[in-house]
Amino acid sequence: MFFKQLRVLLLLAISWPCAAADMLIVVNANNKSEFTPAQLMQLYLRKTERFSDGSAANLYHLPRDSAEHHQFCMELLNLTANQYQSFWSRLLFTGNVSAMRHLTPEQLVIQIQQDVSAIGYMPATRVHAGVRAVAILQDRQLTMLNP
Amino acid sequence: MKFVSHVTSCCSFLLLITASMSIQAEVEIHGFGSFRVGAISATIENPNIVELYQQSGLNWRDESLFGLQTNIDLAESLSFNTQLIGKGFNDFDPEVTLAFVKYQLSPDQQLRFGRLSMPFFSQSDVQYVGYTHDYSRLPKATYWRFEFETADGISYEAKHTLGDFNAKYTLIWAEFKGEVFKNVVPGGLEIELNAMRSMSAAVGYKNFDVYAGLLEADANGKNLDNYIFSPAVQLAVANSGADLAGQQQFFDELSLTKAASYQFWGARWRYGDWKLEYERAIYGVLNSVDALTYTQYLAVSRRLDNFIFTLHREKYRQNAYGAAGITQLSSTSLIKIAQQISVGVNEPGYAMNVLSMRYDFASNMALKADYFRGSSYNNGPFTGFSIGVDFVF
Repeated sequence: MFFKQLRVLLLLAISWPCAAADMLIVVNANNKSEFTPAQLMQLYLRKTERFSDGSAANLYHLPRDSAEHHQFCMELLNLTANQYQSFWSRLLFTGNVSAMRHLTPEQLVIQIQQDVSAIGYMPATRVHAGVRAVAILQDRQLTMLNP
Repeated sequence: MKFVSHVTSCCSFLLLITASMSIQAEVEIHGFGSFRVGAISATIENPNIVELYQQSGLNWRDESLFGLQTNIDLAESLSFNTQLIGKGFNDFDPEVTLAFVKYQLSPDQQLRFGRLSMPFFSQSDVQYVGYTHDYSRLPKATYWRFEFETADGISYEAKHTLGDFNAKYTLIWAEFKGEVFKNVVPGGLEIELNAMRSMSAAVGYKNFDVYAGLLEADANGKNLDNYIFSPAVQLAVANSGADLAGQQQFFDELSLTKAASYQFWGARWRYGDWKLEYERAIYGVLNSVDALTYTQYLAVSRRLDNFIFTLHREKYRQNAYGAAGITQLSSTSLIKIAQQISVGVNEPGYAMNVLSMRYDFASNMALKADYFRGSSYNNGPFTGFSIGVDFVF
């Protein structure tokens, strides 16, 4: 765990000048699933609803109007936030999902720390205890942080 | 079928009980709607384009609608979903379009039981939720309104992923009993679609998806048969000079109490700000007076910030003279009578190009406008436009 957090900190340090625009994709620290870029896209596009270990995945988002949400939608999914909302509505009105869950960064950290099935994203400004960063989005580049 | 209907009724009752007893179930209420005004201009007063602005002047009822949906989590893996839609062309009378219990077998597998949306085409399940797509309206050539768009039954859905590939398939068994052609015959004509069997699948690789579906049913169209075999037709057949066996063959071959088949396939590709989409469908009541319907559309979209421009060409075609039931007849006089019936019950078709724009001007709201220009095979060229707002909450 220490080396993983160190790796994240090093990545943040290297990219410090643009750190405000960087985004970590995070899960609960007890989530031992492996992640690939394709799998992250599939999770957020609901092509699959489970992690690689077979357990269910609950998606969380930062506030709808936040720059981070817009950035995440565009850089990971190549969709504007409005397009993602439209896409999600398609799933919602066919009975496949619940409403999109938007949380503040503080709420998101707590949710990730408490919910082993949670996955979310947050600005890469600091590393939180009980949270495992699985990927970092930097300048539209997704770098996996699998152990 | 009665059993399934009873279960649907019970589910509705359950909803009321849940609401009235304030059980600690998680309840979500969502809604959607479209308000659209449009008009069509043609060389004749009513070009009879499929379901598109059949009255002169501005029309706001044809495509305006409102919907309400509730999702209730009854237990960890069990939920109940209902959807009501009031459509403008139907005086906004609310109808239950969805009412099903969903059981999540695993994160990627689910069973549904109750009133389900039938996948006649790839986007049938969101046909009336305009906010979910970029078109002003889904291509009318394919997305015609069917009275049997929802039916009572059971479905199984599963998803799989392998590397960059993903797949989803759905199996449905359902039954429908209800009135059709309400706009032609007062009160409509009751039909049954028994043992509706549907299988649809989609396979994706990164931003490329292909999809296909097949739906078959045993149509019981005795009331339709009675309608098309009117006393005047029966008299004409009796006086056709054909022998009794030939006359009986006429009614048998043209009957709509036969197997019905619906097939669709298509592909969708997203590349940067561009999207390309194609879908084709073939359907009809087989070996009857119903000529097979061929529809297709090809669309290209370009995203410019919160604007999305889409240009598509759609085509609808039915060859009334080529209905399979007619080709089986041997008597020339009976063939002529059959052709007259076929021309009456089949739409000749049309083709049109549509340029549409979507502008997401606020959260959960999109302004849409389009301009279309086309030609009806029977009634000549036409042009039209529409403008409206789609929203969800």
